[in-house]
Amino acid sequence: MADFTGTTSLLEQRQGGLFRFILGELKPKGRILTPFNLISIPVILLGLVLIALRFAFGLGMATNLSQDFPWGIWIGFDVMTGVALAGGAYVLTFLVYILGIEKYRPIVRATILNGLLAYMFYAGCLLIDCGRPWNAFNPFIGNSFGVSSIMFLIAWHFMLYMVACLVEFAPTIAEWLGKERIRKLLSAMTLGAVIIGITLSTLHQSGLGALFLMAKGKLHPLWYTEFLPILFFVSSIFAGLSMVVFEGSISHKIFSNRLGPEQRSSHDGIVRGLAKICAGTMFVYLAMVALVFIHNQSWTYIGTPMGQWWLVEIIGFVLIPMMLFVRGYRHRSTLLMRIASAMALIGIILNRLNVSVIAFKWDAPVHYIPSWIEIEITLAIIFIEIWIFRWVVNRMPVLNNLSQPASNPNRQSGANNVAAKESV
Amino acid sequence: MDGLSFVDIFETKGIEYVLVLAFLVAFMLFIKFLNTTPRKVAAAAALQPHKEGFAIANDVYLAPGHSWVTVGSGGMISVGINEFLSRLVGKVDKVEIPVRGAEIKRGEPLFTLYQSGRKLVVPSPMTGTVSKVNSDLLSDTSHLEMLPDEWMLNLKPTALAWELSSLRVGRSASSWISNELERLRDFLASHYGQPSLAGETLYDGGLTTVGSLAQLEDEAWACLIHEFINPDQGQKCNNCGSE
Repeated sequence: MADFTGTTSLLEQRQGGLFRFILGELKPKGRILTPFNLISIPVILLGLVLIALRFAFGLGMATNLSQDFPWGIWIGFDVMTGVALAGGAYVLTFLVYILGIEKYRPIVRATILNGLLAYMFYAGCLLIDCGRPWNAFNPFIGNSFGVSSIMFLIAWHFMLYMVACLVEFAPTIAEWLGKERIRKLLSAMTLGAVIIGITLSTLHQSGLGALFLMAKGKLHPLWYTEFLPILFFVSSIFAGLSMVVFEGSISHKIFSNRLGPEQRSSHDGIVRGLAKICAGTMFVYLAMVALVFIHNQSWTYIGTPMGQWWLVEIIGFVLIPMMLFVRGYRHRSTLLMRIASAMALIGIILNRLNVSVIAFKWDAPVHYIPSWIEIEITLAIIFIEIWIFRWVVNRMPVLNNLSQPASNPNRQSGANNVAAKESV
Repeated sequence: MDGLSFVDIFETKGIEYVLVLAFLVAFMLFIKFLNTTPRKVAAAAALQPHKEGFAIANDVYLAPGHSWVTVGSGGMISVGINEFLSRLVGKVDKVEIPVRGAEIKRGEPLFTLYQSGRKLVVPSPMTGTVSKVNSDLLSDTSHLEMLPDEWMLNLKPTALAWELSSLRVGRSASSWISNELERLRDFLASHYGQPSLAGETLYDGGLTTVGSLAQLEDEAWACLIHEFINPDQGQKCNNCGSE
């Protein structure tokens, strides 16, 4: 095993090898009985049992899905919303690796990790939602590719994008393990993975909207438009960045011991920069929505309950958060920008749920309402993702990629090497 | 001759063209609005104390004499003194600011602060003509307790891009101000045995104690001014290691 200086690894000498090091890292760090753990552990355990039961007894016992409503919150929330909220990864890697805006580098690893986990877990929900999950591999192995379906595009894109995210994040794992040569090799692949990742994201973020193009007549006219793919793509930009602001604000407090002084001091500036991009993108999104609204002469629906619900989404959770972003940016109020990001996230959740669940067959006599098992499994998946995110951040140089804690000199030197290299 | 015929703006997609053009204009105005920072906010943010030291806004430039510069619309610049200097000086008896129309060169006296018979001259960070003076600052005597975090005058610069490039901004400004705090602590501790004057939390990059300057003897005062504020003023320290 080679270390940063090309000799036997200090890691190996000190801790008796890679295997023992990883075993040591698997042990919990810090208190186990925290309020978050006490809430999340039962939810996760129950969720795992329910997932097992769902695969044993089928969708019928776990969901309120039917032939009329084949897609519920596992698609509407976990997949449609989760993928939109993971959009921060492709936007941020574009800013840092393509445009070279170094200001955002301190948060790029955490964002990629968030994107990777979101795709692995939320897109993994597709398997739970598939009536015959064993057929889910057909588009990949060539047993009836189904190339005429947008599902084919999305399936391949999800898989390829997860690989791209993994390649982007892999240098962090190699750095954690003290494998400098592998890290160098993987770092050399980062730019390629970023370019592929951005290309894939632009296509599948819009592809999720394109899925509903064939639902004309089933989707309420206020939400149905030929521009759905573009609206999904544009909204994924501010959705992803709002998630970065929101999640970053929480991480900033929870993982404050992992942050160096530079990361701490740069936090507000990063939030402000992201808020500006969010405000601009939301302005463009609103202009597109207005264009579609007028083009379709949709004002006839505004007087209906669905019309008022549409106004709640557009005014309450797009226009107002945009104004808050603008005010927060101009007045340098981080609090205001955080509130705006939370509201924008609610707006995206509403939008995706409206398109896929609420406004879908809105006029059906009996509408789909998710069962408690669907909600419980969704919560369990979110909690599992948070657990893994926390585990990784507490061990790997994710937040502290520019200044490692001094507990392990070997890894610290590696991190500094990276910092020096990446800043070039 | 045919009569007048009305064109259906929806059929011809005319409304879409109008909307797209309106969007382009609105988007430009939106970005312009987004990029303008209210003057009060800019001035306050320039010097806002932070629990880990001074938070320097990204669009605030710092000069070696501890004055700050922000660039407004039309290339007009606002100038003030930063909190490092403001806290260091504390209460002042009188402030002198050049009159409107005065032409100032970089490095020439810009603000003169009077305190207990001593005169501290802050050099100008830029060359230009004074276009506006903050009259509130001159008329309001409450500021004499401690100079406020506000712009003191506007300058119409003559070599904006060239001179701005020599000032510190962003990360460079943050790290410089941290170094200045550290240097001040060392200065007060090693040469005058009074590190407490630098501020209790200064080891962590905190703020200076208000009015430290007034407590120094004449020689130390002159040396500190020469070292930190104005190399043309004061005197070199005999026992200063950095000399």
